Amino acid sequence: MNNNSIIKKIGMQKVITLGILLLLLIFFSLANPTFRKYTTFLSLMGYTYYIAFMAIGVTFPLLTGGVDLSVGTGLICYALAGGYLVVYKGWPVWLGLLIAVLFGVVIGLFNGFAVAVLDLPPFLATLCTCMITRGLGSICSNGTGVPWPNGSAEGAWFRNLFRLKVGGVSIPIGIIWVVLAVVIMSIVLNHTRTGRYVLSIGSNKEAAKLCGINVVRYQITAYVISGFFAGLAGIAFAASFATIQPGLGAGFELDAIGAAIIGGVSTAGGYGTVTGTILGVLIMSLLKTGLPYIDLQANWQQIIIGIVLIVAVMIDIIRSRRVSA
Amino acid sequence: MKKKLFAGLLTVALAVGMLTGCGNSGSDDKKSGSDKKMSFEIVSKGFQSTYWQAVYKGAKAKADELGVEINMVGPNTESDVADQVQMLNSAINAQPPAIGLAALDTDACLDGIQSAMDANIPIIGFDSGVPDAPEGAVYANAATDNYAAGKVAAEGMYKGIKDKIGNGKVRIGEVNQDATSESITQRGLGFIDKMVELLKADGYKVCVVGNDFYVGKAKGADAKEADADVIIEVAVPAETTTSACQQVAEPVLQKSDTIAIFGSNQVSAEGIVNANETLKVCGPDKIVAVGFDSGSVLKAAVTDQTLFGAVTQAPVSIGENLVQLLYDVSNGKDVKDVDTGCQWYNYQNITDEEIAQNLYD
Amino acid sequence: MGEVILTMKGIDKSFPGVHALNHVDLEIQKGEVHALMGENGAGKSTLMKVLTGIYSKDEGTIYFEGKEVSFSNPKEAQTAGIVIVHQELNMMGHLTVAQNIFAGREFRKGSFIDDQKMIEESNKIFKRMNINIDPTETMSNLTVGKQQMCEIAKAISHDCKVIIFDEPSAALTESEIQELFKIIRDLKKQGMGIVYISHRMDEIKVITDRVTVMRDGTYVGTIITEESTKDDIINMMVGRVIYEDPKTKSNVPKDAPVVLKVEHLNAGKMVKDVSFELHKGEILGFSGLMGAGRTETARALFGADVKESGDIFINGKKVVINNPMDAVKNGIGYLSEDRKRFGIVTGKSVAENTTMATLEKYCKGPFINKKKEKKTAKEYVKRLATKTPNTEQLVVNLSGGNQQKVVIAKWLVRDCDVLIFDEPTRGIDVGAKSEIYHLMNELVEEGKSIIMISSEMTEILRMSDRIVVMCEGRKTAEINIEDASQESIMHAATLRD
Repeated sequence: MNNNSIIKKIGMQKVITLGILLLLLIFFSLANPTFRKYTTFLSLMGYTYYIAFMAIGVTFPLLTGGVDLSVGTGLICYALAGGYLVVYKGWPVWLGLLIAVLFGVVIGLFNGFAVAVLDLPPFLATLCTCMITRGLGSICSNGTGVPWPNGSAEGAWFRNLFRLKVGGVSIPIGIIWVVLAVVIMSIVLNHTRTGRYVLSIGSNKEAAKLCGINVVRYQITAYVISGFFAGLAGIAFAASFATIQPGLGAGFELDAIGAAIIGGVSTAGGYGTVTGTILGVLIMSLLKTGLPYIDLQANWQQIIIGIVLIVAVMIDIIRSRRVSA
Repeated sequence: MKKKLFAGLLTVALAVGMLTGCGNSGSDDKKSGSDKKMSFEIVSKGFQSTYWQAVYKGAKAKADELGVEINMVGPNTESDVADQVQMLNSAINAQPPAIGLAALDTDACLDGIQSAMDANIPIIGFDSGVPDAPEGAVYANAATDNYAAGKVAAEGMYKGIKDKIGNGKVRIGEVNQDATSESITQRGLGFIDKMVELLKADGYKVCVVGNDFYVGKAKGADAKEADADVIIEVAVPAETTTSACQQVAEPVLQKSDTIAIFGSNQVSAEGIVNANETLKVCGPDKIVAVGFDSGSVLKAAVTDQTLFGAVTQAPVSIGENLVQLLYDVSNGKDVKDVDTGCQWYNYQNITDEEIAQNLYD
Repeated sequence: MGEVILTMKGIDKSFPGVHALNHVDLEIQKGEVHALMGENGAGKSTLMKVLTGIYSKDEGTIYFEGKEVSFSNPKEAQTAGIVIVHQELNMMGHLTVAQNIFAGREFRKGSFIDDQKMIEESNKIFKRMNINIDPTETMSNLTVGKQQMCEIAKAISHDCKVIIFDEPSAALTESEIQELFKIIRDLKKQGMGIVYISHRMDEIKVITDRVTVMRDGTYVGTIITEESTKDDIINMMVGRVIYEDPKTKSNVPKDAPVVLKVEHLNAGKMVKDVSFELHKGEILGFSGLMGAGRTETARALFGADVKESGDIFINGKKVVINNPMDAVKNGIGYLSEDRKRFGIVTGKSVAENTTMATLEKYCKGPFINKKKEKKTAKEYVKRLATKTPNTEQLVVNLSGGNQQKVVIAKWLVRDCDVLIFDEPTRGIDVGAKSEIYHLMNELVEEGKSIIMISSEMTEILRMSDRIVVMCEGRKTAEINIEDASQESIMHAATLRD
């Protein structure tokens, strides 16, 4: 037992995840030399940002033993709403960004209320908001695509938040925000009451309740965190890609939830880390970026990502068996 | 009339997101009580892009001109087949003199089409129309000939790459959003077939690789990959999103032998443009990139010559022709298919009136 | 009497740490109703589980219809003709009566289920039982009594020769019980051997022919019901030997103030008009048989379950307790009987569990002061002599006794004045048991007050200053320790209206 103590400290799953991550990097680099280019790294980061924010957020409902399926369609909805006001109504960009995040918080509150107060199963409640945000996104944007300011347009500055252009070189400074989010949310999870209670609720909700913990409040908090980060993900998506089309986003949440699970967040709740989640995100975005480079057709990419997920879930099941034994 | 209004409202309720189209149909209804204005139901493939707004613009203008009403609805996204079936049924229940339909999936719409036939409601196809519809259901189509439009793109591109071929093996990329929808596949194949034809006419050996569907359907590319002069590589993403299109476009753009790339609709063309934001490989004297349709991103890219050019359909013309056909068919006239055409545009002619009216943001 | 159909001889069964059955004998005759009695944990259920193949026996032999048998699963026992009707009904509420009766062995026509035949067969069985139930009715539409009949019908449909009833009357109304007895008498006439497990002394007298009594996993004896009195049976159940010295007199001064007063508490079926007082420094024992409503009373008091009515006073002041948060605020702590489900957060460390109910004390702003938390956890590990390598150890890796200590630590940190210990030593080995007893005594000496729910008679007599006895949701007696005896408690625990 003692010889493995370092591995044990970091967590077996994280070690495995990190190993897989490195293997994938080496594999893609060997398979296609162009993959080693700086520009590939840039675009890899482009996919990483929004999945990362979504995944960091959705980690919290997952840790309470719930789930938030509304983050995918949500982030598109928030980006559409904010973008519509900016592009078609002439609002300043900063206000549009703020609206996107606030919108996310409101939907998060709604999810939390439905789950904690109305006692709806999280799967069902957030599936409903998934549909609602999908429709709301179309309504908010009046049914049209929303091209957030781009290129030399006024207000395109916000794209620099994620990809700063100095001279001819792009610097993926979005990494800073992701790292910041990981650090802050790791502290929240491990060093604050909110985090402790979220984990306790996911580990044993009844016991938590009998300790006098305000279970309702902390469940709602978890969903609000998820909504807030979905809002940030919306901004990251808007900054990284071109026109945002209504109706998109369904399925994005699976990238995030999948990433969290790959990173060791237990599907039953109560166990997981933000750093693990971010490793999972990197595997997800690496697969998504890398697989086209080895000339793999789209359907095969999905199959491979599905297999990776199954393996992750199996590791989770084996672990939870050990804990409950 | 009340029943009709109700059905109309129901359709509106179903078409979440389709607000602009129905907003003004209610106010005109007062007149129609006495006048019995003709009112047509139009079920489109979506409202998600400004493209459909342009179709609506044309249709509305024509309707005003002819003194008829239209009620245009469409599902949220092009994968909401079931929603569209529902909308079609509601449209039939409204018992209009004729229905305009751009089917997402003809098979799924078959029941609706049959009941329209039973009720003697003629159907006019528009945009991608109603491919493989049962005999006699669709009286005429107002549509872009997508295969022909793909050819236009190939011809446009060929002017830009002619000089780059011949010195060793080169690659032409094509990003198609999917391998299932009729309009995209026709466009994609039109491009490939025409490109192969042009290349072969100049004596080059051509090979098509990538997505199995397109490789299988492409005509005339008989060379092996190893001894081809030109490789046409078809990339299809796993999802129909800009981000996914960008993901498959990037590896193609980064290959050292790539000289040109074509994105066969707005989403995939935007994917290429966005990928180029970091890669910086497209533009004059670099990779010749060609897009399809418009939107603010593509317009900007054409203007600054990131895109060598693009093909636009004529959505306004589609809308106009559609309403004209609906009007004619319900007045008992014989109708036949109208090709609403498409246009090649680049940084030089993008501001021409003739082009600009078909470009949307 | 009749011919012997089933004999169990010298049955022995051990679980890790527990000798559950110690050479137990049981003999059932054809056409006999045989009661199996004993306190909670006497080994009745274990014996029946061995018989029906759910557990394997370590030693002993079973003879059924003269042949030695050994069932490795319930299905084999069923096929041979031994069926058990469980206390909890195992029914699929959305299916029909007939579908339930033949669940798992449906009649078939080709590859399709033959519903018609199942309905006909069900009707035949009901006719044989002389009851009137529509086989096409949905199960959940029936009363609990009728559902029980269906469970019996299912047993009969196996063409069984021995039926075991495990507390069949627990959920039934008086008239339903009468109907059940009628059926049992019919079955008896048809020559079946019937094992009847119940705590209800009156029923035993009415329906059974013989009684076998078990105590602490051993066979005490078998008597003929007609020739014995209720007291005879109780004496056999409690035995004459008392293992631990009972408390002889209360340590609580007469004038000790009342810290907790509960008046007319009602919550569902299991808590009916319960009132009691708890004095400062007192251990108030709650005794009763399984399902008497003790845990339910505690949960209702603690706000964990909804209560319909009743007032709670703390130190003379009326308080509102609608949820556990309110209870904790009012200085009440609850140590659940089911540690794994309600007590500990298994996947978390000793330290995290220790501060679970008091985390705000360890916080600076939103942040947890982990050093302080660890210090406290260490302190309590030392004080309670919890055996754990360190405070970061996950609770799941500790033994039952040490898990319980962590739970106790959690409430001690909270400094609760009233602690409810629900089965504090369940699943805990003897050594840890006396440590926990010691701890409880220490706590009351410090001036805390304890409600102790326990199904172990010796525990009740050893620890309590006063004893509340419950039966079927009602308080049936309140006995001072000076007047308490196993017999008096058992009388009150079987006192039905």
